[in-house]
Amino acid sequence: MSDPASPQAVPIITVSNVVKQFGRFAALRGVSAEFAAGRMYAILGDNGAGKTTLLRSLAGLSKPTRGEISVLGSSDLSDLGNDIGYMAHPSLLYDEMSGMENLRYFAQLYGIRDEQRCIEAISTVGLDPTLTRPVGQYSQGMRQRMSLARALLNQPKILLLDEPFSNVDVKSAKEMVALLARLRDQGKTIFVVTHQATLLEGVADEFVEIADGKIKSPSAPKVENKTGTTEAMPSRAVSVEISLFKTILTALRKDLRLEWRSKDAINSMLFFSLLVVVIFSFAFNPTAEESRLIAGGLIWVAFLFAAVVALNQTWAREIRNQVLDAYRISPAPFNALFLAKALDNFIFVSVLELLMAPLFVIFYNLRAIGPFYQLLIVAVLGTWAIVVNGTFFASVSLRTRAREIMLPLLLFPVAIPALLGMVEATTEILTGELSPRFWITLLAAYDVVFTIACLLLFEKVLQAE
Amino acid sequence: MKTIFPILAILTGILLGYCAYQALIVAPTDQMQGDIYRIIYYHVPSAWTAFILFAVNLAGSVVYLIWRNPKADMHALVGAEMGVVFLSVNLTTGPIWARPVWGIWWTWDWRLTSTLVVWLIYVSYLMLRRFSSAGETPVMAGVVGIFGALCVPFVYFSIWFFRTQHPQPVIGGGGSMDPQMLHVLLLNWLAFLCFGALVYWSRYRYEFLRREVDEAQAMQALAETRGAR
Repeated sequence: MSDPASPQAVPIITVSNVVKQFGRFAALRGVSAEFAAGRMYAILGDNGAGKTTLLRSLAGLSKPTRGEISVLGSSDLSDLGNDIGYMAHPSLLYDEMSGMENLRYFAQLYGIRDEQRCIEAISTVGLDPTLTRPVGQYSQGMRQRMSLARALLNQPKILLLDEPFSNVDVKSAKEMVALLARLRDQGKTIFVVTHQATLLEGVADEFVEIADGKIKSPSAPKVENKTGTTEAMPSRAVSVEISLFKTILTALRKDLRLEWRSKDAINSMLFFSLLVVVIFSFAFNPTAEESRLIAGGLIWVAFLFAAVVALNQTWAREIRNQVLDAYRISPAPFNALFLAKALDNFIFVSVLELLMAPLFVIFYNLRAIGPFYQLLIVAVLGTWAIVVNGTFFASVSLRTRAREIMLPLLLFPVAIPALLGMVEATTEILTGELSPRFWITLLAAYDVVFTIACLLLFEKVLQAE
Repeated sequence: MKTIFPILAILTGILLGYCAYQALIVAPTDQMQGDIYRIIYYHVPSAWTAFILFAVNLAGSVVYLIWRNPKADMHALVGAEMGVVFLSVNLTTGPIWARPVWGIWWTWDWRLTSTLVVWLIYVSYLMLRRFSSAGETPVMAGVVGIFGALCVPFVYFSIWFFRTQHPQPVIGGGGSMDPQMLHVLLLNWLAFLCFGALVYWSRYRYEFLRREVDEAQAMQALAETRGAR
């Protein structure tokens, strides 16, 4: 155990009277403490005591209702990404990707281009970097180690680990403890939330007990203010410039690869849109002439309904193991994630439209009178209008109790002006009666306004906690 | 508050009564439609008042998202709730008026549809508030409030490009009206605004007190210890 009065006794984290309320429930009730650099803290307590909330607050994932947290001398926790490694109870990993694929993806979010870092991180936790099995097929213990590897990837000064030993066999847990001790001796500050205090006996520098949202140990951790000390606060990591464009490409490639493997979104959308067309046939059996008048409406309503199926799945992989938290603490720009998701959905819905268009032509005896390129412009602008709002509202509905229901309830009313433009423009092109220029302009204006709004507001939605 | 509110309520009641007298008795009868047209004195002011309240919702949403002021969130909530109520009055009086004049309760005319769309947008806003997690509600609602407001111009300006069965707007829309009728219409709008302001005040006050109680209960929970429980 390191000496509390060692030269490293500088408060790397200061927590001042922090209260965190979830509605009427107070998870933290005025926590105050100082945590020194280069020490290992074991955070103990019953379920619901407030341990995880404290850790999330230190990671900047949960904003205190009252009070202040200062990390590395700054109370702005929004850009801690390079200094913090966070391991949550869920793995924060994509189940569908291998360990190496996961780490390669997260490394890019931190601007790490050296693949050797990923290999080292995996090897450090005692796993084989060449394993090609998806993480979803790992044992719980292996998943925990891979999660720790992800937390170590950016070589952070502070490690926040939530129950790293749960479901891990005793031998592996002891190996993890030894690894944490080595990391502490290298100067990292480590917080370990655990129910297995015995594992850390003789290793942790301090045991902090939390009960009912308060620190209960004999006294809250405090760093002695030594007069005349020349020791400086460890500096924050130099922030790496993360390219918006590269991050979009990284996230887009990852999602397309996962969709290519599962084909979940495309298959379900195709089937659903076909169902909608069949159901419409009970309401309409138009002549060829009537078809041209109603086809615009039928086509876009069918695509809108089908798109909701894919849009509802936009964040499904991210919320399964709380992967969004890993993204939130990384220095990657939030808008890159949003644009990548919107582009993903745009590609999925466009593929659906390409596959379904010939069927519509056959079912409704359609023949475009207007130029084809105009139809293409309407399709591109209209599809973007649906997916940009759909992707955004999918992130809003994540925060609700009934997200599958909330997405269409939020999206449809807002999408109606775009739907109107798409339907009117398509009808005018199919009938060749009028120029669709006005409706195309309306769609373009709608796309610009709502894309800007989504980009401005997405971070607020993602960071609301 | 305790003394001013009843006085204002009485004054508003008198104003509403006077305006009802003006609308139902004094204003001239329409030569084409007869007395049924008098519903305009409720139909139009309710729509105008609703849009003012939606503007309050937008302002409250923006202010909350920038400064995280809980009062701004309360204004946004009350603005949306009351806007929906006033627009519901507009959507209800419309078909009552349409039936004898057009022979139908409803037509998918874009003016009617667009008003229904705006109503749906703000109902979805209120549903979001109901379904979202307590601590995150103001942020999510603020965001959706802004989206709703962004949608309104697209919905409303597009009616310029439709041939609509609905008469053109009386003000700023190319419609015309007898000056005496217009006077009564504006007077009724004033009465609606006073009535709206009074209900707004009282709803805001209720919301304020409700949150104070919640806050007090949360503070009490903070003070509790395991032993005491």
